[in-house]
Amino acid sequence: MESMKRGHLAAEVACILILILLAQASAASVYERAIIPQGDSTYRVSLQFPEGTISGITETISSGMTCKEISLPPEQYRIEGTTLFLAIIEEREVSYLVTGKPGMTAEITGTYQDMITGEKGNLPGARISSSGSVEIIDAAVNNSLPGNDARSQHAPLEPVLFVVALCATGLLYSLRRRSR
Amino acid sequence: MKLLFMVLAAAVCLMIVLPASAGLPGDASGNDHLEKQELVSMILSALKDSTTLQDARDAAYVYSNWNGSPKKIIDSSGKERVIWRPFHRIVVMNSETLETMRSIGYDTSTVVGVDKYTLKATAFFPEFKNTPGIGSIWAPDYEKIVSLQPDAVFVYAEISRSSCDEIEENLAKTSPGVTVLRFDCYLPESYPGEIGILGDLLDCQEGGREFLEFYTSNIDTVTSRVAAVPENERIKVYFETWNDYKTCAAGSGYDQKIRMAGGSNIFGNEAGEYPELDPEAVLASSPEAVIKLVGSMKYTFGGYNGGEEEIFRQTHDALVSRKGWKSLPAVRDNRTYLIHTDILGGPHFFVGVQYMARWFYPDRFSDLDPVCVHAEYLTRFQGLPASIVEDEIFVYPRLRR
Repeated sequence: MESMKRGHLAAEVACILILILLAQASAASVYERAIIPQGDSTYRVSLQFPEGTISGITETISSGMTCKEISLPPEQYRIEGTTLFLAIIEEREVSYLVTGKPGMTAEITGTYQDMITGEKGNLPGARISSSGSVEIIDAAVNNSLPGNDARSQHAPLEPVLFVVALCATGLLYSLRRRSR
Repeated sequence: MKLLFMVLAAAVCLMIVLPASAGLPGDASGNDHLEKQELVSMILSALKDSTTLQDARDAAYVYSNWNGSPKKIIDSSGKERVIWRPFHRIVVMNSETLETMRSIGYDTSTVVGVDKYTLKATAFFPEFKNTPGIGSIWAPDYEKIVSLQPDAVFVYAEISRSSCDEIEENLAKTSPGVTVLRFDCYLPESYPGEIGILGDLLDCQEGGREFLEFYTSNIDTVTSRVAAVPENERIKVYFETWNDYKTCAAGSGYDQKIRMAGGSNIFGNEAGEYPELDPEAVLASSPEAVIKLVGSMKYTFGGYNGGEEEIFRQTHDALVSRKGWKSLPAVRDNRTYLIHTDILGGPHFFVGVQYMARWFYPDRFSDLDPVCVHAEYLTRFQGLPASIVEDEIFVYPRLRR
Protein backbone atom coordinates (compact mmCIF):
# COMPACT_ATOMS: atom_id res chain seq x y z
CA MET A 1 0.00 0.00 0.00
CA GLU A 2 2.79 2.37 1.06
CA SER A 3 4.73 1.65 -2.10
CA MET A 4 1.62 2.37 -4.20
CA LYS A 5 1.29 5.79 -2.60
CA ARG A 6 4.96 6.47 -3.21
CA GLY A 7 4.41 5.42 -6.80
CA HIS A 8 1.54 7.90 -7.16
CA LEU A 9 3.65 10.66 -5.72
CA ALA A 10 6.50 9.85 -8.08
CA ALA A 11 4.09 9.89 -11.00
CA GLU A 12 2.74 13.29 -9.92
CA VAL A 13 6.26 14.70 -9.61
CA ALA A 14 7.13 13.27 -13.03
CA CYS A 15 4.02 14.88 -14.54
CA ILE A 16 4.93 18.25 -13.07
CA LEU A 17 8.49 17.98 -14.36
CA ILE A 18 7.18 17.08 -17.82
CA LEU A 19 4.94 20.15 -17.67
CA ILE A 20 7.95 22.30 -16.81
CA LEU A 21 9.89 20.83 -19.72
CA LEU A 22 6.97 21.45 -22.06
CA ALA A 23 6.70 25.02 -20.86
CA GLN A 24 10.43 25.49 -21.41
CA ALA A 25 10.19 23.98 -24.87
CA SER A 26 7.34 26.30 -25.77
CA ALA A 27 9.45 29.22 -24.60
CA ALA A 28 12.24 28.29 -26.99
CA SER A 29 12.60 29.92 -30.38
CA VAL A 30 10.17 28.73 -33.04
CA TYR A 31 12.79 29.50 -35.67
CA GLU A 32 15.35 26.88 -36.64
CA ARG A 33 18.93 27.01 -37.78
CA ALA A 34 20.95 24.62 -39.89
CA ILE A 35 24.58 24.80 -41.04
CA ILE A 36 25.99 22.74 -43.86
CA PRO A 37 29.76 22.70 -44.51
CA GLN A 38 30.59 23.60 -48.11
CA GLY A 39 34.37 22.96 -47.97
CA ASP A 40 37.20 25.51 -47.90
CA SER A 41 36.09 26.82 -44.48
CA THR A 42 32.80 27.84 -46.00
CA TYR A 43 29.41 27.01 -44.50
CA ARG A 44 25.87 27.57 -45.64
CA VAL A 45 23.81 28.92 -42.77
CA SER A 46 20.07 28.63 -43.11
CA LEU A 47 17.21 29.84 -40.94
CA GLN A 48 13.72 28.41 -41.19
CA PHE A 49 10.58 30.30 -40.28
CA PRO A 50 6.94 29.33 -39.78
CA GLU A 51 4.39 30.37 -42.41
CA GLY A 52 3.44 34.03 -42.36
CA THR A 53 6.44 35.19 -40.36
CA ILE A 54 7.18 38.90 -40.41
CA SER A 55 10.26 39.39 -38.35
CA GLY A 56 13.52 41.25 -37.97
CA ILE A 57 16.65 39.14 -37.59
CA THR A 58 20.06 40.22 -36.34
CA GLU A 59 22.84 37.69 -36.98
CA THR A 60 26.31 38.10 -35.53
CA ILE A 61 29.26 36.11 -36.81
CA SER A 62 32.73 35.90 -35.29
CA SER A 63 35.24 38.44 -36.39
CA GLY A 64 37.42 37.13 -39.18
CA MET A 65 34.43 35.64 -40.94
CA THR A 66 32.64 37.11 -43.91
CA CYS A 67 29.17 36.47 -45.20
CA LYS A 68 27.84 36.57 -48.74
CA GLU A 69 25.22 35.08 -51.09
CA ILE A 70 22.29 36.03 -48.92
CA SER A 71 19.16 34.48 -50.38
CA LEU A 72 17.12 37.66 -50.02
CA PRO A 73 16.78 40.59 -52.41
CA PRO A 74 19.56 43.11 -51.66
CA GLU A 75 17.12 45.66 -50.24
CA GLN A 76 15.95 43.13 -47.65
CA TYR A 77 19.22 42.91 -45.70
CA ARG A 78 22.12 45.00 -44.49
CA ILE A 79 25.63 43.92 -43.57
CA GLU A 80 27.57 46.00 -41.09
CA GLY A 81 30.89 44.42 -40.20
CA THR A 82 30.12 41.07 -38.64
CA THR A 83 26.45 41.87 -38.15
CA LEU A 84 23.78 40.94 -40.64
CA PHE A 85 20.32 42.50 -40.47
CA LEU A 86 17.50 40.66 -42.22
CA ALA A 87 13.89 41.60 -42.81
CA ILE A 88 11.77 38.48 -43.13
CA ILE A 89 8.47 39.05 -44.92
CA GLU A 90 6.73 35.71 -45.10
CA GLU A 91 9.81 33.85 -46.36
CA ARG A 92 10.02 30.28 -45.06
CA GLU A 93 13.81 30.03 -45.33
CA VAL A 94 16.76 32.35 -45.65
CA SER A 95 20.34 31.23 -46.19
CA TYR A 96 23.77 32.77 -46.59
CA LEU A 97 27.36 31.65 -46.84
CA VAL A 98 29.97 32.34 -44.17
CA THR A 99 33.65 31.88 -44.81
CA GLY A 100 36.42 31.86 -42.24
CA LYS A 101 40.10 31.08 -42.13
CA PRO A 102 41.13 27.43 -42.14
CA GLY A 103 41.34 26.00 -38.62
CA MET A 104 39.57 28.87 -36.91
CA THR A 105 36.82 28.43 -34.35
CA ALA A 106 33.75 30.56 -34.77
CA GLU A 107 30.36 31.31 -33.32
CA ILE A 108 27.17 32.47 -34.96
CA THR A 109 24.46 33.98 -32.80
CA GLY A 110 21.21 35.63 -33.68
CA THR A 111 18.20 37.39 -32.26
CA TYR A 112 14.71 37.87 -33.62
CA GLN A 113 11.98 40.43 -33.18
CA ASP A 114 8.63 39.11 -34.32
CA MET A 115 6.76 42.08 -35.75
CA ILE A 116 3.33 40.48 -35.47
CA THR A 117 3.39 39.00 -31.98
CA GLY A 118 5.95 41.40 -30.54
CA GLU A 119 7.92 38.48 -29.17
CA LYS A 120 11.68 38.76 -29.18
CA GLY A 121 14.43 36.39 -28.22
CA ASN A 122 17.44 34.43 -29.30
CA LEU A 123 17.77 32.21 -32.31
CA PRO A 124 19.52 28.88 -32.01
CA GLY A 125 23.24 29.59 -32.20
CA ALA A 126 26.10 27.64 -33.75
CA ARG A 127 29.70 26.80 -32.95
CA ILE A 128 32.23 25.82 -35.56
CA SER A 129 35.25 24.02 -34.15
CA SER A 130 38.79 24.22 -35.46
CA SER A 131 38.29 20.77 -36.98
CA GLY A 132 35.36 22.13 -38.94
CA SER A 133 32.62 20.30 -37.05
CA VAL A 134 29.41 22.21 -36.41
CA GLU A 135 27.32 22.28 -33.24
CA ILE A 136 23.87 23.87 -33.06
CA ILE A 137 23.13 25.43 -29.69
CA ASP A 138 19.52 25.74 -28.72
CA ALA A 139 18.06 29.19 -28.16
CA ALA A 140 17.73 28.84 -24.36
CA VAL A 141 21.42 27.94 -23.96
CA ASN A 142 22.30 30.58 -26.48
CA ASN A 143 21.10 33.19 -24.00
CA SER A 144 24.31 32.73 -22.05
CA LEU A 145 26.64 33.16 -25.00
CA PRO A 146 29.01 36.09 -24.49
CA GLY A 147 28.09 39.23 -26.29
CA ASN A 148 24.44 38.26 -26.62
CA ASP A 149 22.32 40.51 -24.50
CA ALA A 150 18.92 39.65 -25.93
CA ARG A 151 16.48 37.86 -23.66
CA SER A 152 13.47 35.89 -24.66
CA GLN A 153 10.23 37.40 -23.36
CA HIS A 154 9.44 34.02 -21.88
CA ALA A 155 12.68 33.73 -19.98
CA PRO A 156 11.52 35.36 -16.72
CA LEU A 157 8.63 32.91 -16.54
CA GLU A 158 10.79 29.81 -16.41
CA PRO A 159 12.14 30.17 -12.84
CA VAL A 160 8.63 31.12 -11.72
CA LEU A 161 7.25 27.95 -13.26
CA PHE A 162 9.93 25.95 -11.54
CA VAL A 163 9.16 27.50 -8.14
CA VAL A 164 5.41 26.97 -8.68
CA ALA A 165 6.05 23.35 -9.58
CA LEU A 166 8.20 22.84 -6.49
CA CYS A 167 5.53 24.42 -4.28
CA ALA A 168 2.83 22.28 -5.89
CA THR A 169 4.89 19.17 -5.30
CA GLY A 170 5.44 20.13 -1.66
CA LEU A 171 1.75 20.87 -1.20
CA LEU A 172 0.73 17.56 -2.73
CA TYR A 173 3.20 15.73 -0.52
CA SER A 174 2.00 17.43 2.67
CA LEU A 175 -1.67 16.85 1.74
CA ARG A 176 -0.97 13.17 1.24
CA ARG A 177 0.81 12.93 4.57
CA ARG A 178 -2.08 14.65 6.31
CA SER A 179 -4.64 12.37 4.68
CA ARG A 180 -2.92 9.25 6.01
CA MET B 1 -17.38 80.15 -20.66
CA LYS B 2 -15.91 77.53 -18.39
CA LEU B 3 -16.79 74.84 -20.93
CA LEU B 4 -15.17 76.83 -23.74
CA PHE B 5 -12.03 77.23 -21.66
CA MET B 6 -11.94 73.51 -20.95
CA VAL B 7 -12.38 72.62 -24.61
CA LEU B 8 -9.59 75.05 -25.58
CA ALA B 9 -7.32 73.68 -22.87
CA ALA B 10 -8.09 70.18 -24.06
CA ALA B 11 -7.30 71.25 -27.62
CA VAL B 12 -3.89 72.54 -26.60
CA CYS B 13 -3.18 69.35 -24.66
CA LEU B 14 -4.31 67.23 -27.59
CA MET B 15 -1.99 69.03 -29.95
CA ILE B 16 0.90 68.48 -27.57
CA VAL B 17 0.18 64.91 -26.57
CA LEU B 18 -1.36 63.25 -29.56
CA PRO B 19 0.53 62.64 -32.77
CA ALA B 20 -1.41 63.10 -35.96
CA SER B 21 -1.68 59.47 -37.01
CA ALA B 22 -3.42 59.86 -40.37
CA GLY B 23 -1.54 57.91 -42.99
CA LEU B 24 -0.24 54.38 -42.99
CA PRO B 25 2.82 53.69 -40.87
CA GLY B 26 5.84 53.36 -43.10
CA ASP B 27 4.06 54.56 -46.24
CA ALA B 28 7.04 56.57 -47.47
CA SER B 29 5.59 56.99 -50.96
CA GLY B 30 2.40 58.44 -49.52
CA ASN B 31 0.20 56.45 -51.90
CA ASP B 32 -1.94 55.03 -49.07
CA HIS B 33 -0.66 51.55 -49.73
CA LEU B 34 2.12 49.83 -47.87
CA GLU B 35 4.46 48.09 -50.27
CA LYS B 36 6.72 45.22 -49.22
CA GLN B 37 9.81 47.36 -49.64
CA GLU B 38 8.38 50.00 -47.33
CA LEU B 39 7.77 47.39 -44.67
CA VAL B 40 11.30 46.06 -45.14
CA SER B 41 12.72 49.54 -44.53
CA MET B 42 10.65 49.87 -41.37
CA ILE B 43 11.85 46.52 -40.02
CA LEU B 44 15.51 47.14 -40.80
CA SER B 45 15.29 50.55 -39.12
CA ALA B 46 13.58 49.10 -36.06
CA LEU B 47 16.36 46.55 -35.62
CA LYS B 48 18.78 49.40 -35.02
CA ASP B 49 16.49 51.99 -33.48
CA SER B 50 13.98 50.63 -31.02
CA THR B 51 12.05 53.91 -30.94
CA THR B 52 10.67 53.00 -34.35
CA LEU B 53 9.67 49.48 -33.31
CA GLN B 54 5.99 50.28 -32.67
CA ASP B 55 5.63 51.87 -36.10
CA ALA B 56 7.28 48.84 -37.68
CA ARG B 57 4.94 46.52 -35.81
CA ASP B 58 1.92 48.54 -36.91
CA ALA B 59 3.18 48.43 -40.48
CA ALA B 60 3.62 44.66 -40.24
CA TYR B 61 0.06 44.36 -38.93
CA VAL B 62 -1.35 46.45 -41.78
CA TYR B 63 0.67 44.50 -44.33
CA SER B 64 -0.28 41.13 -42.90
CA ASN B 65 -3.92 41.71 -41.95
CA TRP B 66 -5.15 44.50 -44.21
CA ASN B 67 -3.18 43.69 -47.37
CA GLY B 68 -1.22 46.88 -46.92
CA SER B 69 -4.22 49.19 -47.26
CA PRO B 70 -6.05 51.30 -44.71
CA LYS B 71 -9.24 49.78 -43.35
CA LYS B 72 -12.38 51.55 -44.45
CA ILE B 73 -15.72 51.05 -42.78
CA ILE B 74 -19.04 52.84 -42.69
CA ASP B 75 -20.23 53.17 -39.11
CA SER B 76 -23.82 53.56 -37.90
CA SER B 77 -23.73 57.31 -38.41
CA GLY B 78 -23.36 56.61 -42.14
CA LYS B 79 -19.88 58.12 -42.32
CA GLU B 80 -16.93 56.38 -43.85
CA ARG B 81 -14.11 55.98 -41.36
CA VAL B 82 -10.56 55.29 -42.41
CA ILE B 83 -8.35 53.35 -40.00
CA TRP B 84 -4.66 53.71 -40.68
CA ARG B 85 -3.20 51.45 -38.05
CA PRO B 86 -4.41 48.95 -35.42
CA PHE B 87 -5.85 50.42 -32.25
CA HIS B 88 -3.71 50.31 -29.14
CA ARG B 89 -5.71 52.63 -26.90
CA ILE B 90 -9.44 53.12 -27.20
CA VAL B 91 -12.02 55.00 -25.19
CA VAL B 92 -15.54 53.54 -25.19
CA MET B 93 -18.24 55.98 -24.18
CA ASN B 94 -21.17 53.61 -24.76
CA SER B 95 -21.37 50.42 -22.77
CA GLU B 96 -23.49 48.72 -25.45
CA THR B 97 -20.58 48.82 -27.86
CA LEU B 98 -18.24 47.62 -25.14
CA GLU B 99 -20.55 44.67 -24.47
CA THR B 100 -20.62 43.86 -28.18
CA MET B 101 -16.83 44.03 -28.36
CA ARG B 102 -16.76 41.36 -25.68
CA SER B 103 -19.37 39.34 -27.59
CA ILE B 104 -17.22 39.17 -30.71
CA GLY B 105 -14.09 38.22 -28.78
CA TYR B 106 -12.20 41.51 -29.02
CA ASP B 107 -9.26 41.84 -26.66
CA THR B 108 -10.57 44.64 -24.47
CA SER B 109 -7.20 45.20 -22.83
CA THR B 110 -6.82 48.09 -25.30
CA VAL B 111 -9.73 49.89 -23.60
CA VAL B 112 -8.14 52.70 -21.61
CA GLY B 113 -11.23 54.71 -20.76
CA VAL B 114 -14.92 53.99 -20.19
CA ASP B 115 -18.02 55.98 -19.34
CA LYS B 116 -19.40 56.33 -15.84
CA TYR B 117 -22.23 53.86 -16.47
CA THR B 118 -19.78 51.12 -17.34
CA LEU B 119 -17.89 51.87 -14.13
CA LYS B 120 -21.12 51.55 -12.14
CA ALA B 121 -21.95 48.20 -13.72
CA THR B 122 -19.36 46.37 -11.65
CA ALA B 123 -21.14 43.01 -11.80
CA PHE B 124 -21.43 43.02 -15.58
CA PHE B 125 -18.14 44.75 -16.39
CA PRO B 126 -15.89 43.63 -13.53
CA GLU B 127 -12.75 43.91 -15.65
CA PHE B 128 -13.22 47.67 -16.05
CA LYS B 129 -13.73 48.58 -12.42
CA ASN B 130 -10.29 50.23 -12.28
CA THR B 131 -10.36 51.69 -15.80
CA PRO B 132 -10.28 55.50 -15.86
CA GLY B 133 -13.70 57.11 -16.24
CA ILE B 134 -14.27 59.77 -18.88
CA GLY B 135 -17.66 61.02 -17.71
CA SER B 136 -20.53 60.35 -20.05
CA ILE B 137 -21.64 61.37 -23.50
CA TRP B 138 -23.75 64.07 -21.85
CA ALA B 139 -20.89 65.37 -19.72
CA PRO B 140 -17.63 64.23 -21.29
CA ASP B 141 -14.41 64.86 -19.43
CA TYR B 142 -12.32 66.11 -22.37
CA GLU B 143 -9.27 66.64 -20.25
CA LYS B 144 -9.36 63.02 -19.16
CA ILE B 145 -9.96 61.76 -22.69
CA VAL B 146 -6.94 63.74 -23.87
CA SER B 147 -4.74 62.45 -21.09
CA LEU B 148 -5.55 58.86 -22.07
CA GLN B 149 -4.10 59.44 -25.55
CA PRO B 150 -6.63 57.29 -27.41
CA ASP B 151 -6.37 56.18 -31.02
CA ALA B 152 -10.15 55.92 -31.21
CA VAL B 153 -13.21 57.05 -29.27
CA PHE B 154 -16.50 55.14 -29.55
CA VAL B 155 -19.76 57.04 -29.07
CA TYR B 156 -23.41 56.50 -30.03
CA ALA B 157 -24.75 57.03 -33.53
CA GLU B 158 -28.45 57.68 -32.92
CA ILE B 159 -28.96 57.91 -29.16
CA SER B 160 -28.32 61.46 -27.95
CA ARG B 161 -27.17 62.35 -31.41
CA SER B 162 -26.52 66.02 -30.61
CA SER B 163 -24.23 65.22 -27.67
CA CYS B 164 -22.30 62.71 -29.73
CA ASP B 165 -22.10 65.10 -32.68
CA GLU B 166 -20.58 67.64 -30.33
CA ILE B 167 -18.01 65.16 -29.04
CA GLU B 168 -17.09 64.22 -32.59
CA GLU B 169 -16.78 67.85 -33.66
CA ASN B 170 -14.64 68.78 -30.66
CA LEU B 171 -12.29 65.86 -31.16
CA ALA B 172 -12.07 66.50 -34.90
CA LYS B 173 -11.08 70.11 -34.29
CA THR B 174 -8.61 69.46 -31.54
CA SER B 175 -7.12 66.16 -32.56
CA PRO B 176 -7.57 64.87 -36.09
CA GLY B 177 -5.46 61.87 -35.10
CA VAL B 178 -8.27 60.45 -32.95
CA THR B 179 -10.78 58.37 -34.90
CA VAL B 180 -14.35 58.78 -33.69
CA LEU B 181 -16.52 55.74 -34.33
CA ARG B 182 -20.26 55.64 -33.82
CA PHE B 183 -22.34 52.60 -33.01
CA ASP B 184 -25.58 52.10 -31.08
CA CYS B 185 -25.67 48.35 -30.49
CA TYR B 186 -29.15 48.30 -29.01
CA LEU B 187 -31.54 48.71 -31.95
CA PRO B 188 -32.87 45.45 -33.41
CA GLU B 189 -32.93 46.84 -36.95
CA SER B 190 -29.28 47.85 -36.99
CA TYR B 191 -27.66 45.48 -34.48
CA PRO B 192 -26.90 42.54 -36.81
CA GLY B 193 -25.15 44.90 -39.23
CA GLU B 194 -23.24 46.53 -36.39
CA ILE B 195 -21.96 43.15 -35.19
CA GLY B 196 -20.51 42.52 -38.65
CA ILE B 197 -18.97 45.99 -38.97
CA LEU B 198 -17.44 45.86 -35.50
CA GLY B 199 -16.05 42.39 -36.28
CA ASP B 200 -14.44 43.77 -39.42
CA LEU B 201 -13.23 46.96 -37.77
CA LEU B 202 -11.61 45.16 -34.85
CA ASP B 203 -10.38 42.18 -36.87
CA CYS B 204 -12.67 39.83 -34.99
CA GLN B 205 -14.44 38.53 -38.09
CA GLU B 206 -14.68 34.96 -36.84
CA GLY B 207 -15.93 35.98 -33.40
CA GLY B 208 -18.39 38.33 -35.06
CA ARG B 209 -19.74 35.56 -37.26
CA GLU B 210 -20.10 33.19 -34.29
CA PHE B 211 -21.95 35.75 -32.21
CA LEU B 212 -24.14 36.83 -35.10
CA GLU B 213 -25.16 33.22 -35.66
CA PHE B 214 -26.09 32.86 -31.99
CA TYR B 215 -27.98 36.14 -31.99
CA THR B 216 -29.79 35.48 -35.26
CA SER B 217 -30.87 31.97 -34.31
CA ASN B 218 -32.36 33.25 -31.05
CA ILE B 219 -34.20 36.09 -32.75
CA ASP B 220 -35.38 33.85 -35.60
CA THR B 221 -36.83 31.36 -33.13
CA VAL B 222 -39.20 34.10 -32.02
CA THR B 223 -39.91 35.98 -35.24
CA SER B 224 -40.54 32.87 -37.37
CA ARG B 225 -43.31 31.70 -35.02
CA VAL B 226 -44.71 35.18 -34.48
CA ALA B 227 -45.06 35.53 -38.26
CA ALA B 228 -47.80 32.89 -38.10
CA VAL B 229 -49.94 35.08 -35.82
CA PRO B 230 -52.26 37.31 -37.89
CA GLU B 231 -51.83 41.02 -37.20
CA ASN B 232 -55.39 41.38 -35.90
CA GLU B 233 -54.89 38.53 -33.43
CA ARG B 234 -51.77 39.90 -31.83
CA ILE B 235 -51.86 40.61 -28.15
CA LYS B 236 -52.49 44.25 -27.19
CA VAL B 237 -49.55 45.44 -25.08
CA TYR B 238 -49.13 48.47 -22.87
CA PHE B 239 -45.41 49.08 -22.34
CA GLU B 240 -44.32 51.47 -19.62
CA THR B 241 -40.80 52.77 -19.11
CA TRP B 242 -39.33 53.48 -15.67
CA ASN B 243 -41.21 56.76 -15.78
CA ASP B 244 -44.79 56.03 -14.87
CA TYR B 245 -47.23 56.48 -17.76
CA LYS B 246 -44.41 57.08 -20.20
CA THR B 247 -44.57 54.57 -23.02
CA CYS B 248 -42.72 53.88 -26.25
CA ALA B 249 -43.83 54.48 -29.81
CA ALA B 250 -42.65 53.86 -33.34
CA GLY B 251 -38.98 54.69 -33.85
CA SER B 252 -37.93 53.57 -30.40
CA GLY B 253 -36.01 50.37 -29.78
CA TYR B 254 -38.62 49.12 -27.30
CA ASP B 255 -41.39 49.41 -29.89
CA GLN B 256 -39.33 47.28 -32.27
CA LYS B 257 -38.74 44.71 -29.55
CA ILE B 258 -42.43 44.47 -28.62
CA ARG B 259 -43.32 43.89 -32.25
CA MET B 260 -40.54 41.31 -32.60
CA ALA B 261 -42.08 39.38 -29.72
CA GLY B 262 -45.47 39.47 -31.44
CA GLY B 263 -47.04 42.23 -29.41
CA SER B 264 -49.23 44.99 -30.75
CA ASN B 265 -47.98 48.17 -29.13
CA ILE B 266 -51.17 50.00 -28.17
CA PHE B 267 -49.51 53.42 -28.21
CA GLY B 268 -47.13 52.68 -31.08
CA ASN B 269 -48.62 55.42 -33.24
CA GLU B 270 -48.31 58.23 -30.69
CA ALA B 271 -46.11 61.18 -31.58
CA GLY B 272 -42.51 61.02 -30.36
CA GLU B 273 -40.50 57.98 -29.40
CA TYR B 274 -41.38 58.08 -25.70
CA PRO B 275 -44.77 59.81 -25.30
CA GLU B 276 -46.29 60.58 -21.93
CA LEU B 277 -49.82 59.35 -21.47
CA ASP B 278 -52.91 60.34 -19.60
CA PRO B 279 -53.69 57.52 -17.10
CA GLU B 280 -57.23 57.52 -18.44
CA ALA B 281 -55.90 56.68 -21.91
CA VAL B 282 -54.23 53.57 -20.52
CA LEU B 283 -57.48 52.49 -18.85
CA ALA B 284 -59.39 53.11 -22.04
CA SER B 285 -56.94 51.08 -24.12
CA SER B 286 -57.74 47.82 -22.29
CA PRO B 287 -54.31 46.21 -22.63
CA GLU B 288 -54.13 42.43 -22.63
CA ALA B 289 -50.57 42.49 -21.35
CA VAL B 290 -48.59 45.10 -19.43
CA ILE B 291 -44.81 45.30 -19.49
CA LYS B 292 -43.17 47.61 -16.96
CA LEU B 293 -39.50 48.42 -17.43
CA VAL B 294 -37.33 48.63 -14.31
CA GLY B 295 -33.66 49.28 -13.68
CA SER B 296 -33.44 53.07 -13.56
CA MET B 297 -34.80 56.20 -11.85
CA LYS B 298 -37.05 55.25 -8.93
CA TYR B 299 -37.00 51.66 -10.14
CA THR B 300 -33.25 51.19 -9.79
CA PHE B 301 -33.02 47.65 -8.50
CA GLY B 302 -32.47 44.16 -9.81
CA GLY B 303 -30.55 43.06 -12.86
CA TYR B 304 -26.84 42.42 -12.69
CA ASN B 305 -26.27 44.74 -9.76
CA GLY B 306 -28.69 42.70 -7.63
CA GLY B 307 -31.81 43.34 -5.64
CA GLU B 308 -34.27 41.55 -3.40
CA GLU B 309 -37.31 39.83 -4.86
CA GLU B 310 -39.41 41.69 -2.29
CA ILE B 311 -38.80 45.01 -4.10
CA PHE B 312 -39.99 43.44 -7.33
CA ARG B 313 -43.08 42.07 -5.58
CA GLN B 314 -43.91 45.47 -4.05
CA THR B 315 -43.43 47.21 -7.39
CA HIS B 316 -45.62 44.68 -9.12
CA ASP B 317 -48.31 44.99 -6.43
CA ALA B 318 -48.25 48.78 -6.74
CA LEU B 319 -48.59 48.50 -10.51
CA VAL B 320 -51.67 46.27 -10.49
CA SER B 321 -53.21 48.29 -7.65
CA ARG B 322 -53.27 51.51 -9.62
CA LYS B 323 -56.62 53.21 -9.67
CA GLY B 324 -58.97 51.45 -12.06
CA TRP B 325 -56.46 48.82 -13.14
CA LYS B 326 -58.35 45.89 -11.58
CA SER B 327 -60.69 45.87 -14.51
CA LEU B 328 -57.92 45.79 -17.14
CA PRO B 329 -57.79 42.46 -19.01
CA ALA B 330 -54.04 42.26 -18.36
CA VAL B 331 -54.51 42.56 -14.59
CA ARG B 332 -57.55 40.31 -14.52
CA ASP B 333 -55.63 37.59 -16.38
CA ASN B 334 -52.38 38.04 -14.40
CA ARG B 335 -50.47 39.20 -17.45
CA THR B 336 -48.55 42.08 -15.91
CA TYR B 337 -44.80 41.77 -15.89
CA LEU B 338 -41.68 43.61 -14.79
CA ILE B 339 -38.61 43.36 -16.98
CA HIS B 340 -35.18 44.75 -16.26
CA THR B 341 -33.49 47.06 -18.75
CA ASP B 342 -30.35 44.91 -18.52
CA ILE B 343 -32.03 42.31 -20.74
CA LEU B 344 -34.18 44.57 -22.89
CA GLY B 345 -32.41 47.88 -23.31
CA GLY B 346 -28.92 46.94 -24.42
CA PRO B 347 -27.31 44.46 -26.78
CA HIS B 348 -28.84 41.41 -25.18
CA PHE B 349 -32.38 42.60 -25.78
CA PHE B 350 -32.93 39.28 -27.55
CA VAL B 351 -33.18 37.70 -24.09
CA GLY B 352 -35.91 40.17 -23.15
CA VAL B 353 -37.68 39.56 -26.47
CA GLN B 354 -37.74 35.84 -25.68
CA TYR B 355 -39.28 36.50 -22.26
CA MET B 356 -41.94 38.70 -23.84
CA ALA B 357 -42.70 36.10 -26.52
CA ARG B 358 -43.26 33.50 -23.81
CA TRP B 359 -45.52 35.86 -21.88
CA PHE B 360 -47.46 36.88 -24.98
CA TYR B 361 -47.92 33.41 -26.46
CA PRO B 362 -47.30 30.79 -23.77
CA ASP B 363 -48.61 27.94 -25.93
CA ARG B 364 -46.54 28.78 -29.00
CA PHE B 365 -43.39 29.35 -26.96
CA SER B 366 -43.73 26.77 -24.21
CA ASP B 367 -40.40 25.23 -25.26
CA LEU B 368 -38.57 28.56 -25.27
CA ASP B 369 -36.13 28.89 -22.38
CA PRO B 370 -34.88 32.49 -22.10
CA VAL B 371 -33.15 31.69 -18.82
CA CYS B 372 -31.01 29.14 -20.62
CA VAL B 373 -30.33 31.50 -23.55
CA HIS B 374 -29.34 34.23 -21.09
CA ALA B 375 -26.95 31.86 -19.30
CA GLU B 376 -25.38 30.77 -22.60
CA TYR B 377 -24.90 34.39 -23.64
CA LEU B 378 -23.11 35.17 -20.40
CA THR B 379 -20.83 32.16 -20.40
CA ARG B 380 -20.09 31.89 -24.14
CA PHE B 381 -19.85 35.53 -25.07
CA GLN B 382 -19.40 37.63 -21.96
CA GLY B 383 -17.04 35.54 -19.86
CA LEU B 384 -19.41 35.71 -16.91
CA PRO B 385 -20.75 32.86 -14.77
CA ALA B 386 -24.14 31.36 -15.61
CA SER B 387 -25.06 31.46 -11.93
CA ILE B 388 -25.84 35.19 -12.28
CA VAL B 389 -29.01 34.27 -14.13
CA GLU B 390 -30.30 32.23 -11.21
CA ASP B 391 -28.91 34.46 -8.47
CA GLU B 392 -30.23 37.78 -9.74
CA ILE B 393 -33.70 38.88 -10.82
CA PHE B 394 -34.32 40.12 -14.34
CA VAL B 395 -38.07 39.58 -14.65
CA TYR B 396 -41.02 39.40 -12.29
CA PRO B 397 -42.86 37.15 -11.80
CA ARG B 398 -39.90 34.83 -12.35
CA LEU B 399 -40.38 32.34 -15.10
CA ARG B 400 -41.59 28.89 -14.08
CA ARG B 401 -39.35 26.39 -15.92
